[in-house]
Amino acid sequence: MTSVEEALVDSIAAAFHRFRTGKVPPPIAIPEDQPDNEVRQLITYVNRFLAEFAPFAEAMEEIARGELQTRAVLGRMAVAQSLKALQSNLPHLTWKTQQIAAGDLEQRVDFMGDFSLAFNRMTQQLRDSYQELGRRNQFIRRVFGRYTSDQVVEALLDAPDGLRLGGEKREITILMSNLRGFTALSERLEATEVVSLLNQYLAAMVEVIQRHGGTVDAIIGDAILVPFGAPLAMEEASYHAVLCSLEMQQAMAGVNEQNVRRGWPEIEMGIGLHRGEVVVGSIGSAKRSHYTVIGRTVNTTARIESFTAGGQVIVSPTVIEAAGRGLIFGGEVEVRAKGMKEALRCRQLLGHQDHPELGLEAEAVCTALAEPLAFHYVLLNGKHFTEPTEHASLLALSRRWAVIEAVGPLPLRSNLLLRLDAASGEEEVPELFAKVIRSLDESSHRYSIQFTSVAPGIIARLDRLARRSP
Amino acid sequence: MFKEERDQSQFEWSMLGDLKAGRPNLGPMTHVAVYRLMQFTLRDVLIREIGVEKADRAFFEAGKEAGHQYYQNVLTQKQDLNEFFADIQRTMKELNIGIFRVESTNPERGSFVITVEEDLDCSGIPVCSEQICTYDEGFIAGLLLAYSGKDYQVKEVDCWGSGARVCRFRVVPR
Repeated sequence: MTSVEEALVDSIAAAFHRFRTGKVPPPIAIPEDQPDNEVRQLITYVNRFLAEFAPFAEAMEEIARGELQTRAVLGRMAVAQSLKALQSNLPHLTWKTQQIAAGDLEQRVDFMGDFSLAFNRMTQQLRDSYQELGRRNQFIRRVFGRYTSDQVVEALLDAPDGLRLGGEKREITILMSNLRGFTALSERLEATEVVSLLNQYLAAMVEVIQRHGGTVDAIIGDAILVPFGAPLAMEEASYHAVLCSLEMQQAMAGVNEQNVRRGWPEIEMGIGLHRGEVVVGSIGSAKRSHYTVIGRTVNTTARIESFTAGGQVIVSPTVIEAAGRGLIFGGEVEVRAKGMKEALRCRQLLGHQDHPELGLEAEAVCTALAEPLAFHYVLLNGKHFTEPTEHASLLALSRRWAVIEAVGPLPLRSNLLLRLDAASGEEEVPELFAKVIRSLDESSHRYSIQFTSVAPGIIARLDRLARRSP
Repeated sequence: MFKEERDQSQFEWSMLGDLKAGRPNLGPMTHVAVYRLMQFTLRDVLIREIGVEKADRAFFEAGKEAGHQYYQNVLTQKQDLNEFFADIQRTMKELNIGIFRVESTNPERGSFVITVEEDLDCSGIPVCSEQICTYDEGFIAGLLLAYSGKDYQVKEVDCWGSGARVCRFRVVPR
């Protein structure tokens, strides 16, 4: 029968005690005189187990700390085999997560039980959310991209929660511009020339508008509707709209320079600015929708704009109040419209004290003619003739302005079609369009008018008349 | 066709035959044990005839040709490395070859660590202190050669045979 030294049994018991209490025991020393028997074999196996368990425990501790690049465990123990599988799976999951983080949302995990289900569901939801975000971004780019600055589109994409496309009431500032006398002008040009001229003009204006943070909501022919403060809320929207309108007027010089170079007529633009509550939102069908502004404020802005002559900006009282100090004004303009109880006391805007470079030209001084020049005129309502032909006289003249004396009162800001007598050699009666800007003498029905559309042939004649003045 | 002497591979995918026509009742699938029976008995004979080293070489080269053919005839996503790996993973699962996983990649070195669980060749065999998936090594090398045009050294570093639950392959460009 094999005999065992009590001390050796104590060593084995002590080793397992240390093992059970969370420590990794050192190998058990085998006495040199220990015979080669079952006891020596037992201690050898215990030592081999301890030797294999030590790196296993170390690797488990490393994995528990999140260190996945652990040294490969050797040995054939079942726990070691399971650890090897864990050593493989955890880096694999890390790799999968890295691929997802890099944008590959097609990654899936197989055969890892509940973890696979949870991981794959998460990836699927990420993909769904990403696709939804993509659709939303595409929608925002489609609805706003064309006429909104990249900056505004990016802001919309970054803060989609701040944008309620379903519709909301909001106080904003609206700029509306329109070319003066463009209808008459477009009749004198070829269709392709009209389109090219308009595109050149719109490109120049949109560039200015975007720089000042406006959103081109609509372009209807030669008219542009620009909200400031929608879709993104904007601080000092009226101030920005004011500067934008002044710079748009200044940019017209460059547009006309191009026109002259191409043999096209010069064009003039009027701008109306108003501030008030509107409904903003994406309006339309699923196939075609458009972010726009609607409401009385929009109609009033259009009404204000219709009172402008070429080169003018007219601002409403709400814009004057919101834009703060520094505005430089010209004359007062009373704007009346349907449903409006009282006239809006608007002002012509000539510039801003802090931006002298954006100042606009005030009413030019006219040179008195040697003798009054008789002409006929028709009062226009919108684009239509509504009144019979009346007589009037041209008293003073500049390139863009004139002083006339009518036989009766003329509504301020009304539009006139003027017909001069044909000069010798002229086959057609020269026609020009003008807007009544100011009453100079109510009793004699004397008015200051600004030309809004003058045919090229008449410009030379007006120049000659002005030169012949005393 | 099958038994001609040759210096170069004459294998063609069509040699696998029309399984639908040929096995209308039993279908295309068979037991894993049958596959292993053929591979292990073949290995046994080859080792006896030409020795371990040459037998291993034969298995590696056969696996490499199989990887190339698999790339040509089974895989469809070849534009991007991630898609390529995902396609291998998907098809190997569908064909019950094994659970293919990428453990890590080193883009700078162009190296990978790839694992295959429940491997057709070895999972469940007795632990024997040997890495035996030489055919798999060749298969992975063949896949990557076909995909990238680069020759890779593929070494099995863990195997069920050596006491692991998973076969792990280190892949580095030659």
